Amino acid sequence: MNASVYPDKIWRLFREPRRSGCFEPEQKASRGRAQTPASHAVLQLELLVAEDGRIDDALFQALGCPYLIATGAWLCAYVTGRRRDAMRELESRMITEQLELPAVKRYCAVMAVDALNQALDVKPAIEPADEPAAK
Amino acid sequence: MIYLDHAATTPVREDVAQAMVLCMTEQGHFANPGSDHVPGRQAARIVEQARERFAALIGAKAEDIIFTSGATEANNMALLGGAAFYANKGKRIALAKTEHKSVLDPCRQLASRGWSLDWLETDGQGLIAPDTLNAALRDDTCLATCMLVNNETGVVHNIPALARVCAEKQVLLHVDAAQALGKLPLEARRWDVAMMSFSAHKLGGPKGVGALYLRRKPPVKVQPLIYGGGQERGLRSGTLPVHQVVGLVRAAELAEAEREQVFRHFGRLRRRLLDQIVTALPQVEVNGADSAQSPHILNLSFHGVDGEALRADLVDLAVSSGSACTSDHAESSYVLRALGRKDSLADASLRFSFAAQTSAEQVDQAAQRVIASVRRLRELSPLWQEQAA
Repeated sequence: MNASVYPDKIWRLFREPRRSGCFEPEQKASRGRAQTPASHAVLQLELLVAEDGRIDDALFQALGCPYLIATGAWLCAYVTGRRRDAMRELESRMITEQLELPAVKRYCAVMAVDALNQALDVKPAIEPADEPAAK
Repeated sequence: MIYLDHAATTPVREDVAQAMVLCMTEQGHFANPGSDHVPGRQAARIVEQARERFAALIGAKAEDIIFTSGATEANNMALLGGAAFYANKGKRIALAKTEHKSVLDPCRQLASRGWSLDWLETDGQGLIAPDTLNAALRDDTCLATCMLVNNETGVVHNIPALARVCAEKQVLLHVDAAQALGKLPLEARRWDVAMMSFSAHKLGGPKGVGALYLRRKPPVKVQPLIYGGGQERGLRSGTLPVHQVVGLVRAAELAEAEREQVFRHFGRLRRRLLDQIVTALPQVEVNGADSAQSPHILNLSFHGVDGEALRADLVDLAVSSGSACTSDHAESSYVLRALGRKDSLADASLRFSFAAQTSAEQVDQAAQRVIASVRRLRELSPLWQEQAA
């Protein structure tokens, strides 16, 4: 048990989200972004896809509740090492089940799939000129 | 855990707890103050002494004081009871949307019974100007109500000025002073307010007790909400809880004795916390009024972070948020929205509130935790990163 009101799995991913951030522009990551109206919640996913279609690495950024941040962190870990084509089949229901998202937080899984599909469909990778300046 | 939520409630002081115990046990004054025997009369004497002492603390006379179960009951008694008694004058009440729910809800209840509510516009800091009140009061306005210190932002209303407006228009003014007792000097009779509500548990007293100042000269009347044994001049039936009354009055006396010194302490703590946070973090809004601020409260809104994530991340810091959580949903603060803060910013707000025992070290630790959490969440946000780029 943790001291918060969140399930342990969500809490760990929220407090220590691995794979958060952005790739360097020259790495030409493909990026997907999902957001709710008025941008109250935003989930961004960046993928490095190898020529053989394998996802080499993934990073996320999120503005949103602990469930959304946890979902972003989980998604990056899940897709890394898997094949791009297989990831097109990923459904929000599976994410909901894996993370045991409560009903009011299922939108996090939907946003994750939206961001993932966008990132998978980006071809070619975003040009460096389109990237925001490095931090 | 760092507890900076003393405006929600604060621990009962040891002195207060000991004084209360002496009114509960067999060796103490446990008797019913309504009983006509020696122990009963002794208990009644303690209650009446407490009433006199409490009245003196708020600039009133003992005959003006009705003990209640807390400020919520006092507010209900003033508004529902006052409205019922003075309905012949007219069925209008003037109030602001920034009032506490224990004022808003009774007024909405009256609205459902045919009363009209005139909503007073506040300025950007949440204050009602006397001219605004003056313009809102009509011939058939029966009551106006205004809190002395706002529970979320700590802004302080100019009650004497508002009371003068009400007196000129012959409207009764009720003041919710739950956050003001022990923090600010109170002069109920001199200010010429009709009714004023108080709570014990915001200043080191127990939960479950408060008081209503109900002016006797010239008299203000209310219809009772609770009927029974006719205690408290028939206005609030129920056996008087001697220990609770003693707890309220003892806590108020202790707070009054050190009020000016603690007020300066609050000012230093508030400045210290604010300085650290705004020096370290850009885009922080202060919800308050520099010129009329009770320093025991500091309310800040943080751009670029999600409110729920911020509250969650501050797991070892007990503060209030800009969100009123119920079991199944969180609603951003209606007070901050009334001040013009948009939903997401109101939701990403924290209220820090201090007690006499709050130390500079606690404030420093709180500042460091808040700074670290806001930075972490902003770094996680794609929008913040783009904005910063």
